Amino acid sequence: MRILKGKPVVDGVAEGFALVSKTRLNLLSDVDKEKGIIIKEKHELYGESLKDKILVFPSGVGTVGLSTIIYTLKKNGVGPKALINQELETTTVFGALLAEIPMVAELEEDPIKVIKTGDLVRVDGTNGTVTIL
Amino acid sequence: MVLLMYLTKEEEKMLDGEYGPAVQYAMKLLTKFGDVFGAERMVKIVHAHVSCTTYSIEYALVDWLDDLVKMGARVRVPTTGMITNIDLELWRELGIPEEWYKNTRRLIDHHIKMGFIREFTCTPYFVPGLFLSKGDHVAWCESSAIIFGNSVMGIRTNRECCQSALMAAIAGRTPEFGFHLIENRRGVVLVKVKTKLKSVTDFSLMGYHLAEDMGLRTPVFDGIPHATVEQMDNLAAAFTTRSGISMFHIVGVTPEAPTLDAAFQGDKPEDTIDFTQADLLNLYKRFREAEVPIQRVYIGCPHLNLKQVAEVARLINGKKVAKGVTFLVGTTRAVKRAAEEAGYADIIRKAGGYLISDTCGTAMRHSIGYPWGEPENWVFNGMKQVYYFKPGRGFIGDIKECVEAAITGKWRVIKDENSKR
Repeated sequence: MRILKGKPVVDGVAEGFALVSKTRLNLLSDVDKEKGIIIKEKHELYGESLKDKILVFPSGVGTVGLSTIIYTLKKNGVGPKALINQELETTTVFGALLAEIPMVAELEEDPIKVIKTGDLVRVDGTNGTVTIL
Repeated sequence: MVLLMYLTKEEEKMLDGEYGPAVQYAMKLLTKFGDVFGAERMVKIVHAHVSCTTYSIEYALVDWLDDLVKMGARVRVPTTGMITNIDLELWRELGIPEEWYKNTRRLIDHHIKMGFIREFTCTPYFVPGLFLSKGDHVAWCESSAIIFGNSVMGIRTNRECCQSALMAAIAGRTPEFGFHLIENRRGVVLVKVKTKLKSVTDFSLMGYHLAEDMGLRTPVFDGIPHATVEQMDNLAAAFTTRSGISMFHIVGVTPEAPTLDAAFQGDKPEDTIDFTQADLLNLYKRFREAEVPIQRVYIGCPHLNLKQVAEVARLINGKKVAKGVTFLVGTTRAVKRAAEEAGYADIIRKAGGYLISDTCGTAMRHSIGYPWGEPENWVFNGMKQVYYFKPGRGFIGDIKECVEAAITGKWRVIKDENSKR
């Protein structure tokens, strides 16, 4: 078990298997919002489902429509259980607030390097901790 | 989570629900948002521009808007909306199916119920009566308007998403961080312009060219002695293709850059990039030089001001749009009304064109398709539309070239003519 400290962004606790993207994600173009599947070709997570995962990525990028996609994934029941970003980006944060998805950012160590896809992870968005179980 | 930012007595009441559930909901989200980004307090905004207006937004969001209306949400400051997918006034004439109209209407009615001004545009700054002063705080969410507002008008806004801008409109406030603070508005990258920019097209091409390298960094242009409003609003729009910048400075032109030193607030540039004559000629080659038949011409990216609509009318007066060509001129509702009164709209109609508002060339296609089928070649007056136009090929030209293409049905730019520009 390993505990990483970071910045609490959105309240709540969630536990699940990690899905780690090494690259920044434009959720609008990189994800099928109906099925919650990563559709960016040649991406290391191509074809993976976001449903109930702990989604780990450096930051959101691109359009200001990211907030809408995060909210829609949640409403469609195919969204991630929690988000871990290294950098804060406004529209990703607002989307997570709106959808009430626990989120932690700016960890003391780069989560992209420390967390592996498939790791069982607990995110505490209220206290700003990530526990690799 | 304990609230970190300072709130006034009034703001505490808002958060406690004394002004109803919608204001409370907005304040809850905005204070959390501010805490995450280290805002010390809220700032009052004087205007909001909100983009929950395209039918391509998700049904989940329509339900969210429904809930807000039921909570009694009202905007507290003058609020305009982003473009929709259709022209809500001219949809029949344009051959838009009634179903599309009804879907968009339902969405827009939610906004009207919340007290929006009936303007759905990418250029809220061309809505008459909305005079904003340097230093005014606003919450805007159209990426090109954000850049234009921060850079050219000296107003202050972050890159808002549609929901955060709407919450700010309902609360009349936004958390103070990012581009609301003067220290975050300093230039980061120096762009030395080593060629003479002569037209709106030149500015648009340069913005597109520099966008990818810029990322989120604020550029400072040195070497542009003068720039018109039209050149600068097209430069702003071109940056939205591949960058996430929030503003630019032009030394000696834009309000926060009287000198190079002022633009960088005394700091050194992180990076220096040249924009040369060779760059410009290369861009001409890619986005201008061709001799092809065209099917559509759209002038209005960003939405035109009255001066530009007058120019279109003057150029097309007494002429006819070529057979097989759809000629669209996009502007704000307010400018459209003024153009009607001035007779410009009638001239454009008589020539066989449409003066449209509430939407734009590519927004009409986005998610709903064109009622007239997919064109192969478009001519636009801005790189933003050229970039987002798929499938087919888009070309960029000034208003004069766009009108000529509409009349002849051809796009014809050859190298020799270009180098004389």
